Amino acid sequence: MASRRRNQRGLALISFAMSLLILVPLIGVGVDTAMLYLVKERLSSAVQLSARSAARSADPADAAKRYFDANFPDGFLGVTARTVAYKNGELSASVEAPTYFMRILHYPSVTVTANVHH
Amino acid sequence: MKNRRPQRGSTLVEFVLVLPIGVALLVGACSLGVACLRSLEAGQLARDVLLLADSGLDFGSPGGKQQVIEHGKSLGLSAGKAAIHLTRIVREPGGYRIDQSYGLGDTVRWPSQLRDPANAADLKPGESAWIAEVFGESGTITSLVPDTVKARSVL
Repeated sequence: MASRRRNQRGLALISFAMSLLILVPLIGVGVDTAMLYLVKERLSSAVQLSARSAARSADPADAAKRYFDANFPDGFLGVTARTVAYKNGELSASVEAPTYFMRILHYPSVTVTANVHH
Repeated sequence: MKNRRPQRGSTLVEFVLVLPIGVALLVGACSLGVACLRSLEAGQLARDVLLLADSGLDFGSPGGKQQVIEHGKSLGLSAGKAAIHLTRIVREPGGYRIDQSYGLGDTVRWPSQLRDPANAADLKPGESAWIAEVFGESGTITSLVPDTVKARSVL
C-alpha cells in the first residue's frame, strides 16, 4: 500500500505533461485559425473597397490594383504571394497566409482568397 | 497512515508546479482571442465608415459624427477606448493635398499616422480618396500581444 502511494507521486505532473501534448496543438490550431480568419476578413474588405473604387474609374483594372495595394499592402499580416486580378467586373485576390503552429503539421501557409463582382 | 502526510505535500507541490503553465496557456489564448476580435472590429469599422463616406455622409455634421460613433460602439469609440481619423486626400498637378480631416474618440492617445498622403495611396492626378485609420485597445493583459489594434482602409 505504501509503495503504491509512493508510486503515485509525480502522477499529476506526468498526466499534465501528457495532456499538454494534446492541449498545445489544439490551442495552436485555434490561434492559427483566428489569424487566418483575420487575414480573410481584411482581404475581403480590401477587395470590396478596391472593387468599389474600380467601378467608378475610367480604367477599372488599374484602379483596382492601385486601391488594392493601398488597402492590403505587400507583406501585410505576414502574407506572401499576393495576387490580384480584375476581369469583366470581377475582382479576385489571393494571398498565402503564414501559420505559426500548423507548420509543425507541415502546413507552413494557407491560401486565402476573396472575390467580389461589381 | 504514516505515508499520507508526505503524499498530500507532493500533490500540493505538483499542483503549484502545474498551475503557472496552465494559467499562462489560458491567459495567452484568451488574450490572443480578444485581440483578434478587436482587430476584426477595427477593420470592420474602417471599412464601414468609408462606405458611409462613399454614400456622401458629411462627417463634419453632428448627424455624421453620431453615425460614426454608432458604428464604433463595439470598439468603445465613445468611451475613449478607440479613435478614428478620416482624411480625404486629393492629387492635384502640384502633388497630394489633404482636403478634409476629421478625428473622433481619443485622438490625443492615438494621433493620425498619416504623415505623407503620397504614401497612403497611389492616385492619378485629379483623383481623390478617403482614408480611415482606426485605433483601439486590444484588451490584452499580456505583453505578448500589442496593446493597440490598428486598421487602415482607403476608398
